[in-house]
Amino acid sequence: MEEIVHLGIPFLTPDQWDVITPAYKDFELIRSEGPRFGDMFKCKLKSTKEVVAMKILTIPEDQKSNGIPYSILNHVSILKTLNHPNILKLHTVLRTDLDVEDVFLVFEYIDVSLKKFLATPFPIDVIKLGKPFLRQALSGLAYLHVQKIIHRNLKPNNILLSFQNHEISKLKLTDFGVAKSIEPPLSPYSINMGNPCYKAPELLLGFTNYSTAVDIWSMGCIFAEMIKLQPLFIGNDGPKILTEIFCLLGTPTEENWPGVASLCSFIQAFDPPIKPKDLAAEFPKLEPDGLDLLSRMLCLCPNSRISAVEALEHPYLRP
Amino acid sequence: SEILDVAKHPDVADIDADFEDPQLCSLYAADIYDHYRVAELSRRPYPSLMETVQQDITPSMRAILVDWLVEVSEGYKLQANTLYLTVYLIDWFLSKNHIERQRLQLLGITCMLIASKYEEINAPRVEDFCFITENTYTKDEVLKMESLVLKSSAYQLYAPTTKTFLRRFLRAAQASYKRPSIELEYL
Repeated sequence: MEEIVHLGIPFLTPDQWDVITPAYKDFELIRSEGPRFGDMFKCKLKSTKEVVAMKILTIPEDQKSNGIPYSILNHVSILKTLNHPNILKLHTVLRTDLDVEDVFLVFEYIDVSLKKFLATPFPIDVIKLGKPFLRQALSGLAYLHVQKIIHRNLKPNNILLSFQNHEISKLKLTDFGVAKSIEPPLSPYSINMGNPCYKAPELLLGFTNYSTAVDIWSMGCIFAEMIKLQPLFIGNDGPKILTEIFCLLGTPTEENWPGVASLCSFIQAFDPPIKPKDLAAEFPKLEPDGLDLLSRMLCLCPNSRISAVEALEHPYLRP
Repeated sequence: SEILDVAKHPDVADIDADFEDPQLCSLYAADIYDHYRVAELSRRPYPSLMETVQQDITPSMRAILVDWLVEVSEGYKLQANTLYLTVYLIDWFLSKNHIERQRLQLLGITCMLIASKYEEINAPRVEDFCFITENTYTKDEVLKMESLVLKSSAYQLYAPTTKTFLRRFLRAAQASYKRPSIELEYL
Protein backbone atom coordinates (compact mmCIF):
# COMPACT_ATOMS: atom_id res chain seq x y z
CA MET A 1 0.00 0.00 0.00
CA GLU A 2 2.80 2.41 0.78
CA GLU A 3 5.10 3.68 -1.87
CA ILE A 4 8.64 3.81 -0.66
CA VAL A 5 10.95 5.96 -2.69
CA HIS A 6 14.62 5.57 -1.96
CA LEU A 7 15.84 8.94 -0.99
CA GLY A 8 19.58 8.78 -1.21
CA ILE A 9 21.44 11.78 0.09
CA PRO A 10 20.61 14.55 -2.42
CA PHE A 11 17.55 15.80 -0.53
CA LEU A 12 19.54 16.39 2.64
CA THR A 13 22.12 19.12 3.03
CA PRO A 14 25.51 18.09 4.46
CA ASP A 15 24.63 19.82 7.75
CA GLN A 16 21.37 17.90 8.05
CA TRP A 17 23.24 14.72 7.24
CA ASP A 18 25.69 15.43 10.09
CA VAL A 19 22.84 15.67 12.56
CA ILE A 20 21.06 12.50 11.53
CA THR A 21 23.87 10.03 10.86
CA PRO A 22 25.07 9.49 14.41
CA ALA A 23 21.62 8.26 15.43
CA TYR A 24 19.95 6.87 12.32
CA LYS A 25 20.60 4.98 9.11
CA ASP A 26 18.57 3.69 6.15
CA PHE A 27 16.82 6.83 5.00
CA GLU A 28 13.71 6.43 2.94
CA LEU A 29 11.14 9.01 1.98
CA ILE A 30 7.70 8.03 3.19
CA ARG A 31 5.69 11.07 2.36
CA SER A 32 6.15 14.31 0.55
CA GLU A 33 2.56 15.13 -0.15
CA GLY A 34 1.60 17.88 2.13
CA PRO A 35 3.31 19.44 5.12
CA ARG A 36 3.73 23.17 4.86
CA PHE A 37 7.44 23.00 5.25
CA GLY A 38 9.67 20.02 5.64
CA ASP A 39 9.00 16.43 4.65
CA MET A 40 8.71 13.17 6.47
CA PHE A 41 11.42 10.57 6.13
CA LYS A 42 11.37 6.96 7.13
CA CYS A 43 14.43 6.02 9.18
CA LYS A 44 15.69 3.06 11.10
CA LEU A 45 17.27 3.35 14.52
CA LYS A 46 20.73 1.81 14.58
CA SER A 47 20.53 0.47 18.09
CA THR A 48 17.02 -1.02 18.35
CA LYS A 49 16.23 -1.42 14.62
CA GLU A 50 13.03 0.50 15.34
CA VAL A 51 11.53 2.26 12.34
CA VAL A 52 10.65 5.91 12.90
CA ALA A 53 9.45 8.85 10.84
CA MET A 54 11.48 12.03 10.82
CA LYS A 55 10.22 15.46 9.95
CA ILE A 56 12.64 18.29 9.30
CA LEU A 57 11.43 21.78 10.14
CA THR A 58 13.56 24.12 8.09
CA ILE A 59 14.03 27.66 9.29
CA PRO A 60 13.53 29.99 6.31
CA GLU A 61 16.78 31.76 5.40
CA ASP A 62 15.31 35.25 5.93
CA GLN A 63 14.18 34.36 9.46
CA LYS A 64 17.43 32.82 10.69
CA SER A 65 18.76 36.14 12.00
CA ASN A 66 15.95 36.20 14.59
CA GLY A 67 16.48 32.71 15.96
CA ILE A 68 13.84 29.98 16.10
CA PRO A 69 10.60 31.30 14.51
CA TYR A 70 7.21 31.28 16.24
CA SER A 71 5.82 28.57 13.95
CA ILE A 72 8.43 26.07 15.14
CA LEU A 73 8.22 27.11 18.83
CA ASN A 74 4.45 26.67 18.70
CA HIS A 75 4.56 23.41 16.74
CA VAL A 76 7.12 21.68 18.96
CA SER A 77 5.82 22.95 22.29
CA ILE A 78 2.34 21.65 21.43
CA LEU A 79 3.70 18.25 20.34
CA LYS A 80 5.61 18.03 23.61
CA THR A 81 2.44 18.23 25.67
CA LEU A 82 0.59 15.48 23.77
CA ASN A 83 0.41 11.84 24.77
CA HIS A 84 -2.56 9.83 23.48
CA PRO A 85 -2.98 6.59 21.49
CA ASN A 86 -4.67 8.51 18.65
CA ILE A 87 -2.05 11.25 18.33
CA LEU A 88 1.19 10.56 16.45
CA LYS A 89 3.81 10.23 19.17
CA LEU A 90 6.86 12.49 19.14
CA HIS A 91 9.91 10.53 20.31
CA THR A 92 12.63 13.16 20.30
CA VAL A 93 13.69 16.52 19.02
CA LEU A 94 17.18 16.56 17.47
CA ARG A 95 19.12 19.81 17.33
CA THR A 96 22.70 20.67 16.54
CA ASP A 97 24.88 22.72 18.80
CA LEU A 98 25.54 25.01 15.87
CA ASP A 99 23.93 28.43 15.83
CA VAL A 100 20.52 28.41 14.24
CA GLU A 101 19.86 25.14 12.53
CA ASP A 102 16.88 23.12 11.39
CA VAL A 103 14.82 21.23 13.94
CA PHE A 104 14.44 17.46 13.51
CA LEU A 105 11.34 15.81 14.92
CA VAL A 106 11.39 12.05 15.34
CA PHE A 107 7.95 10.38 15.41
CA GLU A 108 6.64 6.85 15.62
CA TYR A 109 6.15 5.35 12.16
CA ILE A 110 2.66 4.66 10.77
CA ASP A 111 2.03 3.11 7.35
CA VAL A 112 -0.27 5.30 5.35
CA SER A 113 -2.30 8.50 5.35
CA LEU A 114 -6.07 8.41 4.95
CA LYS A 115 -5.64 10.38 1.74
CA LYS A 116 -3.44 7.70 0.23
CA PHE A 117 -5.72 4.96 1.56
CA LEU A 118 -8.80 6.49 -0.08
CA ALA A 119 -6.88 6.84 -3.34
CA THR A 120 -6.00 3.15 -3.53
CA PRO A 121 -7.94 1.40 -6.31
CA PHE A 122 -9.65 -1.31 -4.24
CA PRO A 123 -10.18 -0.10 -0.73
CA ILE A 124 -11.59 -2.50 1.80
CA ASP A 125 -15.23 -2.06 2.78
CA VAL A 126 -15.05 1.58 3.80
CA ILE A 127 -18.57 1.76 5.22
CA LYS A 128 -17.64 -0.96 7.68
CA LEU A 129 -14.55 1.03 8.66
CA GLY A 130 -16.54 4.22 9.26
CA LYS A 131 -17.44 3.47 12.85
CA PRO A 132 -14.03 2.40 14.22
CA PHE A 133 -12.46 5.22 12.23
CA LEU A 134 -14.70 7.88 13.69
CA ARG A 135 -14.45 6.50 17.22
CA GLN A 136 -10.66 6.64 17.21
CA ALA A 137 -10.44 9.96 15.40
CA LEU A 138 -12.89 11.60 17.81
CA SER A 139 -11.06 10.13 20.84
CA GLY A 140 -7.91 11.88 19.65
CA LEU A 141 -9.85 15.07 19.02
CA ALA A 142 -11.61 15.02 22.41
CA TYR A 143 -8.20 14.62 24.05
CA LEU A 144 -6.84 17.63 22.12
CA HIS A 145 -9.80 19.83 22.96
CA VAL A 146 -9.60 19.04 26.66
CA GLN A 147 -5.90 19.95 26.45
CA LYS A 148 -7.12 23.32 25.10
CA ILE A 149 -5.61 22.71 21.67
CA ILE A 150 -7.36 23.31 18.33
CA HIS A 151 -5.79 21.39 15.43
CA ARG A 152 -7.10 23.78 12.72
CA ASN A 153 -5.83 21.72 9.78
CA LEU A 154 -7.58 18.36 9.83
CA LYS A 155 -7.70 16.70 6.40
CA PRO A 156 -7.13 13.18 5.05
CA ASN A 157 -3.35 13.82 4.68
CA ASN A 158 -3.09 14.43 8.41
CA ILE A 159 -4.70 11.22 9.58
CA LEU A 160 -2.40 8.20 9.55
CA LEU A 161 -3.61 4.61 9.58
CA SER A 162 -2.29 1.10 10.19
CA PHE A 163 -4.23 -2.00 9.18
CA GLN A 164 -4.35 -5.51 10.52
CA ASN A 165 -6.64 -8.16 9.01
CA HIS A 166 -8.50 -5.49 7.02
CA GLU A 167 -9.29 -3.55 10.16
CA ILE A 168 -7.88 -0.30 11.43
CA SER A 169 -5.34 -1.23 14.09
CA LYS A 170 -4.02 2.27 14.64
CA LEU A 171 -5.28 5.74 13.82
CA LYS A 172 -3.14 8.79 14.54
CA LEU A 173 -3.80 12.50 14.07
CA THR A 174 -0.71 14.34 12.93
CA ASP A 175 0.72 17.67 11.69
CA PHE A 176 0.27 20.23 14.43
CA GLY A 177 2.00 22.90 12.35
CA VAL A 178 -0.86 25.39 12.63
CA ALA A 179 -2.45 24.07 15.84
CA LYS A 180 -3.29 26.63 18.49
CA SER A 181 -3.19 26.39 22.25
CA ILE A 182 -6.13 28.41 23.53
CA GLU A 183 -6.88 29.97 26.88
CA PRO A 184 -10.38 31.00 27.88
CA PRO A 185 -11.66 33.65 27.46
CA LEU A 186 -10.63 33.19 23.84
CA SER A 187 -9.21 36.01 21.77
CA PRO A 188 -9.71 36.40 18.03
CA TYR A 189 -7.43 34.06 16.08
CA SER A 190 -6.20 33.92 12.50
CA ILE A 191 -8.56 32.37 9.96
CA ASN A 192 -6.04 32.00 7.16
CA MET A 193 -4.78 28.48 7.74
CA GLY A 194 -6.02 25.08 6.59
CA ASN A 195 -7.41 23.62 3.40
CA PRO A 196 -10.64 25.44 2.37
CA CYS A 197 -12.42 22.14 1.55
CA TYR A 198 -12.37 21.11 5.23
CA LYS A 199 -12.83 24.59 6.71
CA ALA A 200 -15.82 25.29 8.94
CA PRO A 201 -18.40 27.80 7.66
CA GLU A 202 -17.65 30.26 10.51
CA LEU A 203 -14.00 30.40 9.31
CA LEU A 204 -15.03 30.77 5.67
CA LEU A 205 -17.41 33.58 6.64
CA GLY A 206 -14.52 35.34 8.40
CA PHE A 207 -15.42 34.95 12.08
CA THR A 208 -12.19 35.25 14.08
CA ASN A 209 -13.79 34.27 17.40
CA TYR A 210 -14.01 30.55 16.68
CA SER A 211 -13.30 27.60 18.94
CA THR A 212 -12.90 23.80 19.05
CA ALA A 213 -16.01 23.32 16.86
CA VAL A 214 -13.94 24.06 13.71
CA ASP A 215 -12.17 20.69 14.13
CA ILE A 216 -15.50 18.84 14.45
CA TRP A 217 -16.63 20.31 11.13
CA SER A 218 -13.44 19.13 9.42
CA MET A 219 -13.86 15.66 10.92
CA GLY A 220 -17.46 15.59 9.63
CA CYS A 221 -16.20 16.39 6.12
CA ILE A 222 -13.56 13.66 6.38
CA PHE A 223 -16.08 11.08 7.61
CA ALA A 224 -18.41 11.98 4.73
CA GLU A 225 -15.47 11.64 2.33
CA MET A 226 -14.82 8.11 3.59
CA ILE A 227 -18.42 7.14 2.91
CA LYS A 228 -18.64 8.85 -0.50
CA LEU A 229 -15.05 8.04 -1.51
CA GLN A 230 -14.67 11.59 -2.74
CA PRO A 231 -14.33 14.96 -1.00
CA LEU A 232 -17.66 16.32 0.26
CA PHE A 233 -17.00 19.91 -0.78
CA ILE A 234 -14.67 20.69 -3.66
CA GLY A 235 -13.29 24.10 -4.61
CA ASN A 236 -10.27 26.36 -4.48
CA ASP A 237 -11.56 29.31 -2.50
CA GLY A 238 -13.87 30.24 0.35
CA PRO A 239 -16.88 31.55 -1.62
CA LYS A 240 -16.93 28.44 -3.83
CA ILE A 241 -16.83 26.10 -0.82
CA LEU A 242 -19.45 28.14 1.07
CA THR A 243 -21.75 27.89 -1.92
CA GLU A 244 -21.25 24.11 -2.00
CA ILE A 245 -21.95 23.90 1.75
CA PHE A 246 -25.16 25.91 1.42
CA CYS A 247 -26.28 23.84 -1.59
CA LEU A 248 -26.08 20.71 0.60
CA LEU A 249 -27.13 22.01 4.00
CA GLY A 250 -29.16 25.08 3.05
CA THR A 251 -28.37 28.72 3.75
CA PRO A 252 -28.18 29.49 7.47
CA THR A 253 -31.19 31.27 8.94
CA GLU A 254 -31.75 33.40 12.04
CA GLU A 255 -33.40 30.33 13.60
CA ASN A 256 -30.60 27.79 13.14
CA TRP A 257 -27.67 30.24 13.47
CA PRO A 258 -28.73 33.31 15.43
CA GLY A 259 -27.08 36.51 14.30
CA VAL A 260 -25.37 35.16 11.20
CA ALA A 261 -27.66 36.37 8.41
CA SER A 262 -27.61 39.95 9.69
CA LEU A 263 -23.79 39.89 9.97
CA CYS A 264 -22.87 38.42 6.62
CA SER A 265 -23.79 40.07 3.37
CA PHE A 266 -22.55 36.91 1.63
CA ILE A 267 -25.55 34.98 2.96
CA GLN A 268 -28.00 37.72 1.99
CA ALA A 269 -26.85 37.27 -1.61
CA PHE A 270 -28.63 33.88 -1.62
CA ASP A 271 -32.14 35.06 -2.40
CA PRO A 272 -34.35 33.11 -2.22
CA PRO A 273 -32.55 31.05 0.48
CA ILE A 274 -31.48 27.50 -0.44
CA LYS A 275 -33.35 24.61 1.21
CA PRO A 276 -31.25 21.83 2.77
CA LYS A 277 -31.00 18.54 0.85
CA ASP A 278 -32.02 15.20 2.31
CA LEU A 279 -28.78 13.71 3.69
CA ALA A 280 -30.21 10.17 3.54
CA ALA A 281 -30.49 10.50 -0.24
CA GLU A 282 -26.91 11.82 -0.45
CA PHE A 283 -25.52 8.97 1.67
CA PRO A 284 -27.72 5.97 0.81
CA LYS A 285 -25.25 3.47 2.31
CA LEU A 286 -25.05 5.11 5.72
CA GLU A 287 -27.29 3.81 8.52
CA PRO A 288 -29.74 6.26 10.24
CA ASP A 289 -27.63 6.70 13.40
CA GLY A 290 -24.61 7.49 11.25
CA LEU A 291 -26.63 10.06 9.29
CA ASP A 292 -27.78 11.69 12.51
CA LEU A 293 -24.23 11.99 13.85
CA LEU A 294 -22.96 13.31 10.51
CA SER A 295 -25.67 15.98 10.43
CA ARG A 296 -24.74 17.07 13.97
CA MET A 297 -21.05 17.31 13.06
CA LEU A 298 -21.95 19.29 9.94
CA CYS A 299 -24.23 21.66 11.88
CA LEU A 300 -23.79 25.14 10.38
CA CYS A 301 -23.96 27.01 13.68
CA PRO A 302 -20.74 26.35 15.67
CA ASN A 303 -22.49 26.77 19.03
CA SER A 304 -24.99 24.01 18.23
CA ARG A 305 -22.43 21.68 16.61
CA ILE A 306 -21.83 18.48 18.57
CA SER A 307 -18.60 18.34 20.61
CA ALA A 308 -16.07 15.49 20.37
CA VAL A 309 -16.99 14.23 23.85
CA GLU A 310 -20.72 14.29 23.05
CA ALA A 311 -20.14 12.59 19.69
CA LEU A 312 -18.36 9.69 21.39
CA GLU A 313 -21.57 9.11 23.38
CA HIS A 314 -23.74 9.14 20.25
CA PRO A 315 -25.74 5.91 19.55
CA TYR A 316 -23.79 5.40 16.27
CA LEU A 317 -20.50 5.08 18.15
CA ARG A 318 -21.65 3.32 21.30
CA PRO A 319 -20.08 -0.14 21.33
CA SER B 1 -28.80 18.84 60.15
CA GLU B 2 -29.41 21.81 57.93
CA ILE B 3 -25.70 22.58 58.01
CA LEU B 4 -24.89 18.97 57.19
CA ASP B 5 -27.26 19.10 54.25
CA VAL B 6 -25.59 22.24 52.92
CA ALA B 7 -22.18 20.62 53.31
CA LYS B 8 -23.37 17.57 51.37
CA HIS B 9 -25.08 19.49 48.62
CA PRO B 10 -23.32 22.82 48.38
CA ASP B 11 -25.19 25.35 46.31
CA VAL B 12 -22.40 26.12 43.86
CA ALA B 13 -23.18 28.32 40.94
CA ASP B 14 -21.96 26.81 37.67
CA ILE B 15 -19.71 29.51 36.28
CA ASP B 16 -19.57 27.69 32.95
CA ALA B 17 -23.32 27.76 32.43
CA ASP B 18 -23.01 30.46 29.79
CA PHE B 19 -23.09 28.22 26.71
CA GLU B 20 -24.08 31.02 24.38
CA ASP B 21 -20.70 32.73 24.36
CA PRO B 22 -18.13 30.56 22.55
CA GLN B 23 -15.34 32.89 23.75
CA LEU B 24 -15.65 31.45 27.24
CA CYS B 25 -15.20 27.91 25.97
CA SER B 26 -17.82 26.82 28.50
CA LEU B 27 -18.03 23.27 27.27
CA TYR B 28 -14.44 22.46 28.08
CA ALA B 29 -13.56 25.13 30.64
CA ALA B 30 -13.69 22.83 33.68
CA ASP B 31 -11.56 20.15 31.95
CA ILE B 32 -9.13 22.73 30.69
CA TYR B 33 -8.55 24.10 34.20
CA ASP B 34 -8.11 20.57 35.57
CA HIS B 35 -5.42 20.14 32.96
CA TYR B 36 -3.79 23.44 34.01
CA ARG B 37 -3.58 22.30 37.62
CA VAL B 38 -1.81 19.08 36.62
CA ALA B 39 0.51 20.96 34.26
CA GLU B 40 1.32 23.47 37.00
CA LEU B 41 2.47 20.71 39.35
CA SER B 42 4.62 18.91 36.81
CA ARG B 43 6.36 22.04 35.54
CA ARG B 44 6.90 24.02 38.71
CA PRO B 45 10.39 25.50 39.10
CA TYR B 46 12.27 24.27 42.19
CA PRO B 47 11.56 26.54 45.17
CA SER B 48 15.06 25.93 46.53
CA LEU B 49 16.88 26.62 43.28
CA MET B 50 18.94 29.46 44.77
CA GLU B 51 20.37 27.27 47.55
CA THR B 52 20.84 24.08 45.56
CA VAL B 53 21.60 24.95 41.95
CA GLN B 54 22.92 28.50 41.96
CA GLN B 55 26.21 29.62 43.49
CA ASP B 56 26.97 32.93 41.85
CA ILE B 57 23.58 34.68 41.93
CA THR B 58 21.29 35.62 44.82
CA PRO B 59 17.51 36.01 45.21
CA SER B 60 17.87 39.80 45.17
CA MET B 61 19.69 39.67 41.82
CA ARG B 62 16.77 37.72 40.42
CA ALA B 63 14.38 40.30 41.89
CA ILE B 64 16.32 43.17 40.28
CA LEU B 65 16.26 41.34 36.94
CA VAL B 66 12.50 40.79 37.12
CA ASP B 67 11.86 44.43 38.09
CA TRP B 68 13.92 45.52 35.12
CA LEU B 69 12.06 43.16 32.80
CA VAL B 70 8.76 44.68 33.98
CA GLU B 71 10.10 48.05 32.79
CA VAL B 72 11.27 46.55 29.50
CA SER B 73 7.85 45.00 28.90
CA GLU B 74 6.23 48.38 29.51
CA GLY B 75 8.75 50.07 27.22
CA TYR B 76 7.95 47.68 24.38
CA LYS B 77 4.21 47.59 25.31
CA LEU B 78 4.25 43.81 25.69
CA GLN B 79 1.27 41.71 26.82
CA ALA B 80 1.09 40.73 30.48
CA ASN B 81 1.16 37.08 29.34
CA THR B 82 4.59 37.65 27.81
CA LEU B 83 6.00 38.96 31.09
CA TYR B 84 4.58 36.07 33.12
CA LEU B 85 5.90 33.50 30.66
CA THR B 86 9.33 35.21 30.66
CA VAL B 87 9.65 34.91 34.43
CA TYR B 88 8.51 31.29 34.29
CA LEU B 89 11.14 30.45 31.64
CA ILE B 90 13.86 32.15 33.70
CA ASP B 91 12.96 30.21 36.85
CA TRP B 92 12.69 26.94 34.95
CA PHE B 93 16.15 27.46 33.44
CA LEU B 94 17.62 28.44 36.82
CA SER B 95 16.16 25.25 38.34
CA LYS B 96 18.35 23.16 36.08
CA ASN B 97 21.36 25.22 35.05
CA HIS B 98 24.01 27.06 36.99
CA ILE B 99 24.54 30.58 35.69
CA GLU B 100 27.16 33.29 36.37
CA ARG B 101 25.94 36.72 37.42
CA GLN B 102 27.36 38.34 34.25
CA ARG B 103 25.02 36.21 32.16
CA LEU B 104 21.84 36.58 34.23
CA GLN B 105 20.64 39.58 32.23
CA LEU B 106 21.38 37.67 29.00
CA LEU B 107 19.13 34.88 30.26
CA GLY B 108 16.45 37.47 31.07
CA ILE B 109 16.29 39.06 27.63
CA THR B 110 16.56 35.69 25.90
CA CYS B 111 13.57 34.34 27.81
CA MET B 112 11.69 37.52 26.99
CA LEU B 113 12.58 37.07 23.30
CA ILE B 114 11.17 33.53 23.35
CA ALA B 115 8.06 34.55 25.30
CA SER B 116 7.43 37.46 22.91
CA LYS B 117 7.68 35.22 19.87
CA TYR B 118 5.17 32.94 21.56
CA GLU B 119 2.68 35.54 22.76
CA GLU B 120 3.03 38.76 20.75
CA ILE B 121 1.62 39.56 17.34
CA ASN B 122 4.44 42.01 16.60
CA ALA B 123 7.29 40.70 18.72
CA PRO B 124 10.41 42.83 19.20
CA ARG B 125 13.43 41.42 17.37
CA VAL B 126 16.75 40.14 18.71
CA GLU B 127 18.33 43.54 17.96
CA ASP B 128 15.75 45.30 20.14
CA PHE B 129 16.59 43.11 23.10
CA CYS B 130 20.35 43.67 22.61
CA PHE B 131 19.72 47.41 22.40
CA ILE B 132 17.98 47.58 25.79
CA THR B 133 21.01 46.02 27.45
CA GLU B 134 23.04 48.87 25.88
CA ASN B 135 24.54 46.16 23.69
CA THR B 136 26.16 44.37 26.60
CA TYR B 137 25.43 41.18 24.69
CA THR B 138 25.72 40.49 20.98
CA LYS B 139 23.05 39.04 18.73
CA ASP B 140 25.06 35.84 18.47
CA GLU B 141 25.17 35.46 22.23
CA VAL B 142 21.41 35.86 22.46
CA LEU B 143 20.77 33.30 19.71
CA LYS B 144 23.14 30.80 21.38
CA MET B 145 21.35 31.38 24.67
CA GLU B 146 18.00 30.85 22.95
CA SER B 147 19.21 27.47 21.79
CA LEU B 148 20.31 26.61 25.34
CA VAL B 149 17.02 27.67 26.92
CA LEU B 150 14.98 25.72 24.37
CA LYS B 151 17.12 22.65 24.85
CA SER B 152 16.98 22.90 28.62
CA SER B 153 13.20 23.24 28.66
CA ALA B 154 12.92 20.49 26.01
CA TYR B 155 10.65 22.91 24.12
CA GLN B 156 7.95 22.66 26.77
CA LEU B 157 7.39 26.37 26.62
CA TYR B 158 3.88 26.60 27.76
CA ALA B 159 3.00 26.52 31.42
CA PRO B 160 0.05 27.93 33.31
CA THR B 161 1.07 31.09 35.15
CA THR B 162 -0.47 33.06 38.00
CA LYS B 163 -2.42 35.02 35.46
CA THR B 164 -4.02 31.87 34.02
CA PHE B 165 -5.60 31.09 37.38
CA LEU B 166 -6.37 34.70 38.30
CA ARG B 167 -8.69 34.91 35.30
CA ARG B 168 -10.57 31.85 36.44
CA PHE B 169 -10.80 33.02 40.06
CA LEU B 170 -12.11 36.40 38.98
CA ARG B 171 -14.80 34.71 36.96
CA ALA B 172 -15.67 32.50 39.91
CA ALA B 173 -15.91 35.61 42.06
CA GLN B 174 -18.76 36.57 39.73
CA ALA B 175 -16.94 39.65 38.59
CA SER B 176 -18.22 40.94 35.30
CA TYR B 177 -15.83 39.81 32.63
CA LYS B 178 -14.85 43.00 30.91
CA ARG B 179 -13.64 45.07 33.82
CA PRO B 180 -11.40 42.58 35.62
CA SER B 181 -9.76 41.57 32.35
CA ILE B 182 -8.84 45.15 31.62
CA GLU B 183 -7.48 45.64 35.10
CA LEU B 184 -5.44 42.44 34.77
CA GLU B 185 -3.55 43.96 31.90
CA TYR B 186 -2.07 46.43 34.36
CA LEU B 187 -1.03 43.87 36.96
